[in-house]
Amino acid sequence: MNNKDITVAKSNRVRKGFDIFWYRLFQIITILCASVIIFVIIFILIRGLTPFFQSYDIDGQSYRVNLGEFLIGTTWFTSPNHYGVGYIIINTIYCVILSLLIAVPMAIFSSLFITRIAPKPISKFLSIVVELLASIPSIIYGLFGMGYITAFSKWVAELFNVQTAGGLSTLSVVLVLAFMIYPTITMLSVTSINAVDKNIINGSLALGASKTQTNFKVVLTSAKNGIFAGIILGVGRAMGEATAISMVSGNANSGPTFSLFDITNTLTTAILRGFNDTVGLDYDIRFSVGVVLILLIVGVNIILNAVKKRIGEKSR
Amino acid sequence: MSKRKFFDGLLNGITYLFSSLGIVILALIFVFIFSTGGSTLSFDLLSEDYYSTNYVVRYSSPYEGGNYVYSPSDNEYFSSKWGIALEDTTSIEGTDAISISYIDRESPLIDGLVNVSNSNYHHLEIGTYISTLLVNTEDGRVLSSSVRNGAEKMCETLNQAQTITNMNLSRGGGGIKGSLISTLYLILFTLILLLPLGIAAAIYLSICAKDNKITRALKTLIDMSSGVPSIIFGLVGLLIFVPMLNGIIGSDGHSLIAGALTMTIMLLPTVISTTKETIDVIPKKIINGSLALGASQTQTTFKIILPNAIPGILTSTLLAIGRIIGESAALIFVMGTQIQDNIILNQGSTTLATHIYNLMGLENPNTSLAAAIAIIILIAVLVLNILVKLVGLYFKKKGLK
Amino acid sequence: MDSIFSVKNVNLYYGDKHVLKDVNLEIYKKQVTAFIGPSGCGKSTLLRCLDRMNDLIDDCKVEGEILYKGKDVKNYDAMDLRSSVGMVFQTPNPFPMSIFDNVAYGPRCHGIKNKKVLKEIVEEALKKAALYDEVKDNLKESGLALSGGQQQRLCIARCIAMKPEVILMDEPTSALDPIATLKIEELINDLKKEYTIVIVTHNMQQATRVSDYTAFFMLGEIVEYNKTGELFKSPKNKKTEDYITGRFG
Repeated sequence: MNNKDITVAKSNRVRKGFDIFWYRLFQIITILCASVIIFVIIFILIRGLTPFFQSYDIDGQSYRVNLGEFLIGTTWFTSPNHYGVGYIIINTIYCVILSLLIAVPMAIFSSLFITRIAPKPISKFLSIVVELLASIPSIIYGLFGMGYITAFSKWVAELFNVQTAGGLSTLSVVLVLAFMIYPTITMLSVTSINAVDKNIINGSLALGASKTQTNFKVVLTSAKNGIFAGIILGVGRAMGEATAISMVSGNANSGPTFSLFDITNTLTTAILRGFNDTVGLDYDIRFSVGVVLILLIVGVNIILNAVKKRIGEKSR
Repeated sequence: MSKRKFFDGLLNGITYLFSSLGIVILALIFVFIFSTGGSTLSFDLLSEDYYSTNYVVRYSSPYEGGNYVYSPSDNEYFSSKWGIALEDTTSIEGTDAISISYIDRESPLIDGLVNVSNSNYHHLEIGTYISTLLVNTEDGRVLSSSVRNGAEKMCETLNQAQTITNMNLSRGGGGIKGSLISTLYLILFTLILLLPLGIAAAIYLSICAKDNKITRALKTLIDMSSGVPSIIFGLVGLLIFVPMLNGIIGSDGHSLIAGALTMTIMLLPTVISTTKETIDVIPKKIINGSLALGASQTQTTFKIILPNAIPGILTSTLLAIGRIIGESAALIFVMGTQIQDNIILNQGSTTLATHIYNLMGLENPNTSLAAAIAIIILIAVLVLNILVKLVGLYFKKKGLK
Repeated sequence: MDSIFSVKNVNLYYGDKHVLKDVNLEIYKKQVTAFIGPSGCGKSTLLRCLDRMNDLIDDCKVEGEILYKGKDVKNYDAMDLRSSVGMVFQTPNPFPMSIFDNVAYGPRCHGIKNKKVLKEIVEEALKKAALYDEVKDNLKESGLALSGGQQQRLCIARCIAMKPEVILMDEPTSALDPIATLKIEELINDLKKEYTIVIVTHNMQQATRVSDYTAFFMLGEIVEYNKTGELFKSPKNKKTEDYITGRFG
């Protein structure tokens, strides 16, 4: 063994030590990153369930929230401490469904236009527009909502001779949500339409179908899985959106609200609005709403994914 | 055949209509933000404190009046008795205000006013705003005037005064310097925490980890956390980081560091997946080539993998900055909505986005200032978007085989 | 003649797949040994066993003994083994860095920092790989800017810079044009004065041109192993004869 071999052997032990050190460090970091979600759920659950098991002393009276009343309650009052989240759940689902009714057709037509119909420069321009819309932060949508959308809602309401609270209404919430999820759904739809096999499209055209017929009958059906994935993402974004809609919802204390022109309240706005205390029931109950929000999002996701699977199987 | 053509035309028409709606929405947002905030946006806005310095002053020795000369311009009103000119103007944040536009060097007000709170003489400067005025006339009447009445009325009141009982002055204020600095700090501290963690996890998942159940579980968990709404991260930050930091850095409730920690856990999935994507496409043969030369795994990681992952790291950094600038819901919980001028790391403050939230939650929402801040956010987001594209193009051109 | 590798009763599995079956082989010092055979016969797999590159595959299991200079490769430190047994891959794989950095990469990884020493090593390696004259003026240029044949010679230079005893080549010319191939073959003839070379090849003419010994593989077994001249002139096994006369493969 010559000199070189000895030094190499020596430094190898050090290098091996480094390998193990970095491997372990990266492993620990990864486990930490992955466990964030577990911590999130555990902490929110513990704090969110506290109001149902612990009595709070409010103005000399002992008070405990009843889980049943909380879940089906139709009022959210802070002063006699009656917290009912039932109507808020209904409001949330109602607003999300209405916003989907606007955003989904818009997104599907836009994505078809971008991928199949528009000439290249226009298609490129529209893609940029959609990307920009997607990157505008929610606070700006909220600001825009307080400025133009509430005014629009007010104007529509006046056409029907209905009074609004300065435009703060279900309609405003629905429009803001629709505008926010439109780019999300569009971008995913564009990706999935672009992935459609060109042979299928040519096959349809070769049978004498018109371009438009091909687009709607063949392209959309082939891309529907991806479009549905976009819708699932959009629903998630809509349900989790907080700041923008809290600025236009009006924060209704009771409900549910089905009229488009009445003020409303969603789970996120209930968490966000009037959040002042740092201890006590009014503080803890927000985490209970957080738990409800998480459960709702998970539940809706499970249902939608099941539906997506059904659709996917049918087309096979 | 013509029926088919009709339906085709109809569907195409609907397509054009719906597609143009997206453009209309974006245009409306831009029109709204720029028309409302454009006039308020100025360099002063960026460099000025949010809170004005207020003084209450009086002039109690009876004043006979001088005869000062000054030629006022259109919207200026000159009091020849006191030797100062007043002007209708708008403050930095876009509200109506009356400011002092000229003071004669001989004017008794220049150094004669007494600060009510500490009885010191107050040196009056040009540019000071007057919000209210209460005076006594020679014949003992009490007159008052405020911003709402305008500069002309204020000047008239001043001309009749023998003594000034009470005058509310303010200087500066209305700027967003604090929120701007707070946003920059938040970006800095979040990136310091976020990048090492995200890059390490990405390298582990795409290079080091064996493909087994545990690895797949880790990936699923990380994917799942990208679907959690930001408001939930805000709640978690409030539950974990805020109390934890109260003990460690002696904060009292909200703090900027808590904001950075919350943003870090929120953005980790994005950074991990973006970085992992670039590492996954590094050709295996290059990595094997390094190992076959007897390089250790560590050397391969730092000399081969990391340099090749730079485009992904850059992209995820830019995306993260965009998200930090735009985030509001989570930060409201962990950094509060109290606007600050001096940013201290263990205290709450507002970023540009939560500054808007604060302004719009006021009794009289200050829309013009909010829109001016929105312009800044929009421009930042635009620039970041362009940079992401450029990074992609640059590295695509460079083309790693 | 001294043997440097002796492979004894080696069986190799990828998961459930039995890839190498009871392989026995001696590889002699400063000779060129060629592995030939149809695709998927296990020749590249055996090559990768020699410098333990198979360690990088998760479900790979090796049974039996592979002795390198009398010591089982399992008992070597993998990094040590790989710096003494270099490897050249099927497609050129220069790192995305300058020519100089590519060649200096190995020595640097092994702790050589002195610039003068590095420069000497790089120059010597490039000269031995017959690349120096073509690149001496632009050592700072990216290794990716070279032509395919030059890239492969750069990879050989990168190996040589580690001062190895054995160079393993896994179909080194399969991605190259005939002229570049010829250059590499000439290079192999030069290099065998100093190094032991094991080359996997698809091309039988190449095996006859460059190698001293040839092993013919089929379905994970060594069918015949002999001096190249004898194996091609008078194959003892029917299968070998069929293969080299082009009846299948």
